[in-house]
Amino acid sequence: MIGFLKSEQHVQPVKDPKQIDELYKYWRFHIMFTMYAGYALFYFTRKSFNYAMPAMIADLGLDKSDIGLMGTLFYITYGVSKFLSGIVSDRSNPRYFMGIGLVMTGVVNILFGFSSSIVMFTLLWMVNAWFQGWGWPSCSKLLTTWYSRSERGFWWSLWNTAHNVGGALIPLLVGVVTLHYGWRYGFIIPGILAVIVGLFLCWRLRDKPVTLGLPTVGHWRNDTLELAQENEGLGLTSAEILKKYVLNNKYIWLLAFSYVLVYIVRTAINDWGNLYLTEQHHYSLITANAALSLFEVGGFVGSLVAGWGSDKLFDGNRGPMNLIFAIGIFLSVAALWLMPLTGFVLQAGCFFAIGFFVFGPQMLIGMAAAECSHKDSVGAATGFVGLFAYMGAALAGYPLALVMEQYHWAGFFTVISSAAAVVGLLLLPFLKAQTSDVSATAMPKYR
Amino acid sequence: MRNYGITSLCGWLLISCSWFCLWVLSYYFIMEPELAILLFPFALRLGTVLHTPKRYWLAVYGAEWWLMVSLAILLEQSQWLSVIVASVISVPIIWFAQKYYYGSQWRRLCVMGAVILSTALLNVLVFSSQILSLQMLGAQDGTVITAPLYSLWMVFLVSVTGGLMLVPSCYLIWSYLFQKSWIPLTVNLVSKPIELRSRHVVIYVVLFALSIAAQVGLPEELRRFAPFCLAIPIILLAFRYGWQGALLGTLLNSVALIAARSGVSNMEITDLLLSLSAQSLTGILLGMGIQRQRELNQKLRHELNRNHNLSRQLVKAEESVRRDIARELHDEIGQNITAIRTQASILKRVENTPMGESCASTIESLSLNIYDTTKGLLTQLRPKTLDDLGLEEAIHQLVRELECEANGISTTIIWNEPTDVDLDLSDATSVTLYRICQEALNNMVKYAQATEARITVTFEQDVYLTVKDNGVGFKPEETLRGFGLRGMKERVQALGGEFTLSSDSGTQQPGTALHVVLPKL
Repeated sequence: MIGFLKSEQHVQPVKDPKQIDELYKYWRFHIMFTMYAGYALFYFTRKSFNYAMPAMIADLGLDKSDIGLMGTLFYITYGVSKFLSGIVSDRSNPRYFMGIGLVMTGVVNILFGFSSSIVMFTLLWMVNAWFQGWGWPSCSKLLTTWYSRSERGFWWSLWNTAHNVGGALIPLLVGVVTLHYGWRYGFIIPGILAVIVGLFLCWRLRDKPVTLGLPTVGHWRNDTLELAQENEGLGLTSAEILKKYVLNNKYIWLLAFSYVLVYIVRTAINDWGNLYLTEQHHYSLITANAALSLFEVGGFVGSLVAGWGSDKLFDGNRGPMNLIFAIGIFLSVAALWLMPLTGFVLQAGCFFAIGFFVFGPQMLIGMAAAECSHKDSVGAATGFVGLFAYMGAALAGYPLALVMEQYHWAGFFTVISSAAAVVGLLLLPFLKAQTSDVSATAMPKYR
Repeated sequence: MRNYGITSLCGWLLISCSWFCLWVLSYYFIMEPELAILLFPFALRLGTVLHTPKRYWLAVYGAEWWLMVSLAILLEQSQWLSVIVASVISVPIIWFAQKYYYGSQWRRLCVMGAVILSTALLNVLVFSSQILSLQMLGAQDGTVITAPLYSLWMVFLVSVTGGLMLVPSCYLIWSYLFQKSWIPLTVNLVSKPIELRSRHVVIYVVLFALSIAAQVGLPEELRRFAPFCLAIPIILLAFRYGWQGALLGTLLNSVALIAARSGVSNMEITDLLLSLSAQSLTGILLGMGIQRQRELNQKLRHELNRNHNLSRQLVKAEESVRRDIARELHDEIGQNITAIRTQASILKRVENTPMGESCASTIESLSLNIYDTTKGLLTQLRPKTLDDLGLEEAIHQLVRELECEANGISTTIIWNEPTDVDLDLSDATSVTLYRICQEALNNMVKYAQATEARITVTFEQDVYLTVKDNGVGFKPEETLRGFGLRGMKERVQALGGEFTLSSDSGTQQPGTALHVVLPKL
């Protein structure tokens, strides 16, 4: 590893409690803001291709199957990169890790804008996927070291909305740029933005609180659960930590499998939603995309509600909230499927509801993975479930297309609604492991 | 206050999304937008409100009213006055019902039933008044009524069906997710084993798939058979998990029924709704019945266990009292009598008067009497050989004492003791085994006229004792007439063992066999 990527050595601890408070308050706000902007920009360089694609097909005469292959390779490389960079990022400084990752994706996007052959496109897009994977593990590391257990639901969900903001802004940006200056600028402009924001990240992000001489967040907020996690498995080597708390952790595996299914639903709706609306309900492409954008809006709201609910209603337990949202996914997917009317508001409402319910587990599962793992393997654990998530995303591509060829939209919806139902089933062992045998008194709480 | 605001907002969003999805689903069923509200959305609101503190009701009702008004505008219908009125009027009913909504789940289920029924009747009332007013208007103007008029029966059916399906489900979610104390999700989880009952899950998934297949795929000739297939998962789940399982079964069935639904005519919708509510009701009632029986059974088993333990305690207590008394008798009285006898014999030697001498010999013989009586008592109270020699030797000694060989009975004792484990018999068990042998051998010597006898003792998980002879045996009706063996039987049963006595008389190979199984304790 290059020297400056390494996690910084501990410095002289700050003693004055007032100064600690001030430093914490200052950096917690600024790190959240910087991460938010950074992750939204990661979305710019990730999704630019999807929205510039129609113009590229028209301009270069690309084949649809090539594009499908590029998408699948992208998802797989991205998932693998998430996991591997998760392992590396646990020992490195997220400040430079995330910043350099973003700069590199920007550079790749700019290069992409200058190339014209399909081989080059595929290669560059895989390199892009590789650097895209540097964002999420760094963020999860920052989110688990700067924010403590009892408040993390809220902060994580706030950060999670960067997905939706980035995902909602990029079609507008690429659309406008492509329309006025051609598709090449649709890559170059987001690329330049990413390089700038990447440099900004290197400047404004910080490593763990300890490296600034601050006490850990568990000590600062006096959060017992957080302290318990900080004190777990001290003195193990990183290979042992990885093995014990990630690879041999059955609960991480359960989370990974339910994440596969959540991502099948998310990607299926995201990627096939507009096709469904145009084919089945005869929408124009513009209105279909507008209805689909409500999916992101719902996701924005849903992840905030889920994060807040798991903090407040269940005292920082993600399991029960996950289950409620899993039921919701099932109901909303069924509603979209069976909707007997065609009406923009009705379909858009369904997409809003699906987004609302899908983005709850999408965030909570990642957070639960970070929390049932070791403090020093957070990046690896979240990267591991992320790897599975993008396998799910890859499954929603070509394999789902095969299902649709055979069984049409009924097959499509059967697959995603059964996936939604199984998400709930896979989460049940958590409820079992997390409930004590003595249930609370039969009297309602509010009496 | 800020907390209240955020909670209400989040609740409002959650309810709005679910309400909307459920409305779409019910609309798909009934094909009648206003009536569809009465099916799932109203039931969802009912179930949620019943389990929420009153200060959050505004969020729940707010979501419902907002959606009802905007849907009516969106679908360009005349305002859905009746559903809005019905929704508003339900507030005091649930307010009232929540007062009684506490305690055991039976009580809660009863309250739920009452609320479902009363709100359904209320809906009927509201709709009938709307129809009435429309008719009056129509009579005044002389115009034909154009507003959608649903049969009141349909209104009632729709409300009850939705309520039966969703309100208990809300209760389940509430009691499982909100009423439990959660162990926080931490790293410690690594060491906890996963309890994913994959076998059960697979079985139920297969069952569910079969039930859908039965509903969809049965040929027309077998149509009458299809509804019976619905009962199978309900019964199975009710048997396994009580009413909650049955409710799950009915929900799965509903999916199957919906998947199999054939048409959208009024008749078919009524049919579907009727079968949905009938099977929900059956499932819940059946599950409740089974669960009630099971609870009673549990109680009974508990009491029996207690009873058993008590009698075991009794036997143990008796044995320990006997042992204590025997020790006292042996140590105190026995030694004192020996002392008295010695003193008497000294007295006899030193005393010259015949009067004194005879007194001394009387004392000696009397004390000898007491000694004999005490010794007899001691053996009855507590077999002394058992304490001195251990069980195996004590039984050998028993055979010698009863002079079996002299009575012409050749006796074999087979002793199967595990070599690898330490034999650790409780006092009560070994004394009981000894006494049974004693009683059986006694009877044998006295009545059986046997020539051969075999005693087998085997130690495994439990202790097995068999005493067998080839004597004349006895008639079955005489079994256990003797006081001794009956006492033994009661004692064995009190210790949680089994006692069987079988006898063949008059057959070619007569004899008596006594089998005893005793737990080691």
